[in-house]
Amino acid sequence: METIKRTRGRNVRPALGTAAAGLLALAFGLLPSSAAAAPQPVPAPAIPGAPSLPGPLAAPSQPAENMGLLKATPDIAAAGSKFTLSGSKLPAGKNVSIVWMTSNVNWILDARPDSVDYIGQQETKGVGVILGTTTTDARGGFSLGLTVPRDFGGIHDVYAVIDGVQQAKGGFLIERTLKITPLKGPVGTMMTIKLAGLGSTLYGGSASVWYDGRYSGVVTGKWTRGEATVHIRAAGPVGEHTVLIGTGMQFNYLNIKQSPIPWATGGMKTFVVTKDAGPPPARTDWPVTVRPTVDTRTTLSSANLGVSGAGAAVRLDSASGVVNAKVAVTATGLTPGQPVTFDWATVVGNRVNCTGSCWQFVSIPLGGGTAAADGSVRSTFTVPDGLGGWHVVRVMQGGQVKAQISYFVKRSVISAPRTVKAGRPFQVHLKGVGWTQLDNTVAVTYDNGYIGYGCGFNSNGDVVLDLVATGGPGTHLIDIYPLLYPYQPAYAYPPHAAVPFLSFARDFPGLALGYQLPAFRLAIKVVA
Amino acid sequence: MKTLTFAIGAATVMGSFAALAAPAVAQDPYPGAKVAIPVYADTVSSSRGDVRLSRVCTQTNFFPRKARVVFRSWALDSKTGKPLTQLEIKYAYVKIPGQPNLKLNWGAHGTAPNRVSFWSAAWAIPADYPLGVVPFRIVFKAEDGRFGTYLQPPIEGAQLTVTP
Repeated sequence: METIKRTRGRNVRPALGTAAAGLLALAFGLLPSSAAAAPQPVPAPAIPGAPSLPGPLAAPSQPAENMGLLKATPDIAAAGSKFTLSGSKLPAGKNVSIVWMTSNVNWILDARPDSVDYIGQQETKGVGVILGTTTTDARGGFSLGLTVPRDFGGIHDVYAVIDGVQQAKGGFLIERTLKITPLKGPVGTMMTIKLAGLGSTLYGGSASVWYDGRYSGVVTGKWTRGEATVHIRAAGPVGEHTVLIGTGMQFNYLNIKQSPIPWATGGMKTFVVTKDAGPPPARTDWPVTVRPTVDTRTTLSSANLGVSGAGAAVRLDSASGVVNAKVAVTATGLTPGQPVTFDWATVVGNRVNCTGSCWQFVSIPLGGGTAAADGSVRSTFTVPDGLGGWHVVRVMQGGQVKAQISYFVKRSVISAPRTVKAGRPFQVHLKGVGWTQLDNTVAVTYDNGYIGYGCGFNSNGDVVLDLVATGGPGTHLIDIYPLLYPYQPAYAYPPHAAVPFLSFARDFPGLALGYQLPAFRLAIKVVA
Repeated sequence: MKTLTFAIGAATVMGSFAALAAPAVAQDPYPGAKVAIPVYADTVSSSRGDVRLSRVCTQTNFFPRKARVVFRSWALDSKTGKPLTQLEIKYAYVKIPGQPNLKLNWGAHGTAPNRVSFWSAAWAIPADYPLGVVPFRIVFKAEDGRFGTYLQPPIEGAQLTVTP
């Protein structure tokens, strides 16, 4: 029974047809292309090594009728620097809390069973933390040595709070810093770009990377309090190359010094390519492993989840894998002696050329058996060659869903050439690309220049990228990055979208939902 | 008018947050509490000062150190709806943390037909004045003893801010 719904005349791709033709696909719902958004800031997962709030939260305080001033020396420096904060003419012999004003920044998503929409970011301002404490002397003065916290860049207000009253005010500007290592090596050398002091605001909170004037992608540090570590590889030819860190929200704000955030500066380094030793080995860079903070998983639904299923459970021997991976499944708590089937919940459709129902849930049989006398059943299934991302394995018995469990399909590289004639087309083949606005698209750079993107929804996770061997004989680099997709449905001005997301490993909204989206780093040798 | 703008802006911002964070809270309707002397204020760039902005007499709230901030203010009599001039005001000043009170003066500005009168004062930001928000306050006292005060709306990014 073919239940795959064709939308607005678009043909389902062969990969989907092949995968589904012999399977019993059960449609259990139609979905609009723009489900009602319920955007929520997603709590930040614990990113390893990322700074936390610079101090304990301060109690609310009120401004004094006659507020004095605090002097910070210096008052512009990078995180980790030392500075002295002093005040005078304050109440004598009093305990003083130094309250540092900062923000928290979170990504905003609309996570639903049928998709995850990317909305943007939200800054929560006015977060006061205690940076230090001291006591005023008999003349009402104090001088306190402090360390500039690892915090968002830009201006921070600082208050001396005594007995709940802001008696004096100062300010401090955390500068941006840039470090790139190494600065010399053969083609393919992995560069580590470390940025600190990215701001908390929309415009001040990101940067861009440019290699010899070519746009490589965007860098953010929202969940990492303005710190970002990203990697790009040195592209040829032999000689000097310019790595520029641009300012602004997504591309380069060329007159940032005339903006309200003139301190959100960039930087520039020269990388020397010493030789071309041929294509470096292909590699996959995965994001950090974090505990998700949002439970919502696509295709996880309570529909037809019978009350009689109470007590049933299912477990897998792995929580994630690539298409065609073998997974052992065990279900317990079932009715003994009754048939059991396992099925795979996924979706089919696309985001293009549709105004009504653009995709729908389908289920793919995974096999089954008969529940043993103890109510258990064991089986092994093959991860369907389909969409990547979060899916659900459901345990069916008597026409009801008895239990279900989520499984994450990772994207993978199926094939890529190593040698291509100059000027000739070639293909890079991926599988397991997903369908949500977090994972339906990959962004591709060629020698660190953004050349385009590939989508996996309409082709059921199968992506064949058509590229051309340019740049002349020698080694050329192809990097494939995660991308935040901003269309269908489109929201108002989602930032940092539709470009290579270089900081995917530590500051990507999908991390909160358990998405593991890597960068694939490939290379070809172009010959004459 | 500016107060209205602030109120709408604040309502918009709050509305956005309300949409993002449940539960939604009811907004105070505009206008807010009735006061004896409602005060409007803004800041504009100056044609003078050691550091000058690229455009003068233009509304802005970001000023580098050593620039001059021009405070502009209007105080209204809520009984009559008319602006209060030097004839009705006993004193008016801007209170800036760590600075002497800055006297506001009533005067006409601009050229006909756009000549308009308001209260104003210029403040040269000291070279070592702390960076960040300047939580200033404006105070009017009328001859009949009534007070009017102005505090900046608590919208970060819309407050007077000293930059390097």
